[in-house]
Amino acid sequence: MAYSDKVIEHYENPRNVGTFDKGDEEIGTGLVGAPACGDVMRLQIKVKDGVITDAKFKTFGCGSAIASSSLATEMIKGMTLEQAETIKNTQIVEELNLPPVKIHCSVLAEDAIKAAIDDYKKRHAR
Amino acid sequence: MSGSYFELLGLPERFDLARPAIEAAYLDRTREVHPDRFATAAASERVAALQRSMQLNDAYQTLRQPVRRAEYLLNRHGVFIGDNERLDDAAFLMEILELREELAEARVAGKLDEVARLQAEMRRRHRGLLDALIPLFAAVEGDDAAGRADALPRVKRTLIELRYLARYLEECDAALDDEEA
Repeated sequence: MAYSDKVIEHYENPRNVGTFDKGDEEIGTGLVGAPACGDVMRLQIKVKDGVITDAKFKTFGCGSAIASSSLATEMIKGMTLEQAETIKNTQIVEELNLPPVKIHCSVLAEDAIKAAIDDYKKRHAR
Repeated sequence: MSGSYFELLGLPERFDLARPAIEAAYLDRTREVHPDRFATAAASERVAALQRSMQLNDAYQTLRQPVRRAEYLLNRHGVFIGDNERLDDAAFLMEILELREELAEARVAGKLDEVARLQAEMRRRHRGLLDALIPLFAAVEGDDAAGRADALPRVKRTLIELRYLARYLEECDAALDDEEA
């Protein structure tokens, strides 16, 4: 299957790969799995005063899944939690020129962002 | 179109089938549609024989592999593993993530024996899950409705874990390949 140049670029030079200490106060962690492909994606955000100051990810999956999560971390940096919550997978699809069979990879990345935000909010609910 | 892959091969529709029985059924049926038999037949008959032979091949390729046979049966029971489904099991996902990290580190460091150790461990798990499918399918295929309803989601869950393990084993193969290259 042919990947777009943008997917290949992110795949070869993924942004923000890594791990934050998930016990840290400022961190929210989203861990999502796509059983259809056996992919697993972890996306973490660092939040200060309601703004995402940094993001990291670790994805084991196909090139499109890696590129989607790499792009997702770039997109959300500097956003408020409210802004990041509104990110739609279609933005990732457009940016990466994902073919129809790979759209589910962008959905996984969107879900990972939401899971990370949820985790952060839950931990700060009290 | 014809019926299920099991019907095509004349096999009972169940998970617990022996590989030799599947092979024998396939060879038996393909003989009936061998091109030699249709050498002098009308074009339409030749095409029909060819189509049938392709269907038989699809059926055989699906049923001979236990995981594919199990997934096919799951689908026949109206249960699918959807593209946008999520596995809601943080502990399992975390474990897979950590195992994948271990593998990636071993691969980068060129630690072939460590890759082989992980591969052996995951193969054992893979076999264990395949074995677990036999009693689960026995319940799915049994007469007890409550047992069926209980076993079907567990079959699905087992097949999901098998997909994660299969993906992992592919990575092990790739790591061992680049060592040999």
